[in-house]
This record gives sequence, structure tokens and C-alpha cells, in this order.
Amino acid sequence: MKGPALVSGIARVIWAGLAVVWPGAALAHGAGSTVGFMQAQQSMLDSIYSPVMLLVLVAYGILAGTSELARAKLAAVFLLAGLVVGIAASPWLSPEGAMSALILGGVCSVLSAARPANPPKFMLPALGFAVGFTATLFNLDGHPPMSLPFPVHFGVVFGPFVLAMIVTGWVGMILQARREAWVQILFRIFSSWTFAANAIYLAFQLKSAGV
Amino acid sequence: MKLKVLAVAVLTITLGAGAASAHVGGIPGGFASGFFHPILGWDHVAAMVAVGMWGAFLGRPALWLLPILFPMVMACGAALGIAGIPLPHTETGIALSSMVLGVMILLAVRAPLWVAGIIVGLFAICHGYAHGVELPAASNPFAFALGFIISTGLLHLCGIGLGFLLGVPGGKYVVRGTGAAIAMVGTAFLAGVM
Repeated sequence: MKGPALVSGIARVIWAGLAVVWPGAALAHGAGSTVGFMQAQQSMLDSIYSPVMLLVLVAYGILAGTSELARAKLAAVFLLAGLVVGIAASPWLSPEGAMSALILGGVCSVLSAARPANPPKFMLPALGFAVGFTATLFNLDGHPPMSLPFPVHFGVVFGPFVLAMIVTGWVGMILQARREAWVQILFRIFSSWTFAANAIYLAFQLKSAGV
Repeated sequence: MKLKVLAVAVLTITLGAGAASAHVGGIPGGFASGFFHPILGWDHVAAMVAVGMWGAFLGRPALWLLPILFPMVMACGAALGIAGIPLPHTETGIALSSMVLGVMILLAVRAPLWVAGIIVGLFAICHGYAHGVELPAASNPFAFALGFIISTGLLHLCGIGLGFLLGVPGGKYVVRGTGAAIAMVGTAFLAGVM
């Protein structure tokens, strides 16, 4: 049991390391890089540096990280699929897009806070797909498919995906390394905070949208 | 020894809270205003510390369940306030929260978990609503929400820290005495003295 857990931990470290190091290296060599690369990098950063995306992806990452590894892996595939499918659906964006993403983040937080109760098996992949789908809708802001340069689309898909994987990986690693009850409780408490931040931010968004 | 140091630190932080200025008007802003909003009012401080203390008194799972429940329900109350949905007698509810929770600690009431959850949840709506009504125009809602939630959570942790005094000799008298003080603060607010 320890072997697979260790391998999975190492894989997660590599994932997180790549995700952190790659944008940094890209920035350092920005002057000599191609325009497309810079566009992709900027798009990745833009697509995660918004309150909505941070709240939703962190909430999803905690939920996936506190789930069984097999479920988290399956959900990651669905998340990626949702992010890609969202490109095709981007013209349908409405102001409610951001709000539905926040609601999804709230659902993820509630499920994490309610641990050790496990949600139904289909729930995490379904949430992964929905989070990915709404994330792309939100980030493309109504632009039709491929109306923006390809690197922008690449960044819009991989920015949220990498952030979600980093959070998932870190949470999973911490829970593998420290199996004490208080660590799990800490994540439940943190999830309740992300739910609360989600709810308050959603209320502000609805207020400013005049709903 | 560690418990004593922790308890003294928690007591200092709690007593260092400012006067009840949380309800004097809207404070637009970001993280700092969100963070200090629950801290700058004795009524809020007393109630949120009491939630943590009562949770510590009741033991697991209330120890962690109440501090999880409170911010989640409080955020829903805040959303109601931001949306402008009327909710009468919230100030009375806030004052009552300190009084009731203080009495629970003072009398060492070991309520069933679901009863404790309902009591804490009802009061959380009042606290959240009061904050939400006063801050509909925060300039940075994301930073405000984060600050607001983190400070609420830290106040709960202060209460849990004080509750750890139950593990030291004579600690239960300090905890129950603090409960009495919290109940008095609530009564003072209810009577309009504070």
C-alpha cells in the first residue's frame, strides 16, 4: 500500500513542480520567446487570477484532493474535457456564467466540509466537468470558438486545469503524509471558509448585476 | 505549560478587541475592512469566541462541527443582508447569541449535537445578516469576503483555545467564568447598556 501511495505522491510533486516552474521559466526568457508562447502564458495567468476562478478551482481542488485517488484522477479527465468543451459553447456566455461557477464552487465546498461522508461516485467527475465547462465560458467571455489565437485557448484550458491539479495534489499529499484526524478537520474547516467566501462573493456579484 | 501560554495569548487577543464599532456604518474596502469588521465589536467577538468555547466544552464532533457550521450559515445570512432581504430583530438576535451561548458555557449545558447546531446556526444568520446589510458596497468584495471569513474563523479558534483550559486543573472555572462574562456582555447589549 505504501508503494503505490509513494509513487502517486511523487507524480503529484512532479505535476506541481512543472506547473510552478514552467511559467517562471517562460517569464525569464520572455524576450526571446515567440509571441504565441507569451500569449499562452499570459492567457494561463489571466484565466486563474480572478476571484471567481480562484474560489471555484480551490474549492474543487480541495474536494478532489480529499477524495480517493482513483476518483480524483477520473475527475481530472472530466475537468479537462469540460474545459475543452467549454470552448465550443463560449458564445452562450451570459452574466450568469460566473454565478453558476460560484455555485459549483459552493457545492464543492459543502461536499468537502461534510467529510467523511462520501458523495455518490458520479458526483466528483460530474462536478469536474461542470467546473471546467463554466471556467472556460467565464474566461472566454463570449468569444466564439477559435475567434481568438490558438495559444489563448490553450492558456484558457490549461491555466485552470493546472491550478486545480496543484491544489488537488497538495491536499492529497498532505493527507497522505499526515493521517491525523486534525489534518482532515483542518481541510473541512478550510472548506467551510471557501464556501462562505463563495456565498458572500456571489451575493456581491448578484447585487452588482442588479438581480 | 503550553496550554497556559496558549490560553493567555488567546485571552489577550480577545480582550484587545476594540469597542463595539462594527455597526456604526458601512466601511467600504478590501481585506482589512473585512478582517476587522467582526473583530471591532464586542457583541460579535463574544458570540464567536463562545461558539468555539462551547464546541470545546461539548467535545468531538461539536469541537469542529460548530466552527464549520457557523461561517457557512453566517455567509448565507450575509448574502441575505447584501441582497437587501428584510430580516427583523437581527440586533436582538446578536445580543441574545452572546447571552445564550454564554449561559450554555456557564451552566456547562451538554446539549445534543443537533440542538447545538440549530442554536448556533440561527445565531449565525443574525451575525451574517448584520454584516451583510452594512457592507453592500465594499470596493473589493473578494478581499472583503476573505478577510471577513478568516477573522471569524480565528475568533472561533480563540474560543477553542480558551476551551483547552478545561484540560488543566481549575480550568473549568476559568472557562465557565468566561462564559458568565460573555453572557453579561450579551445581556448588556440586550439592555442597551453597551
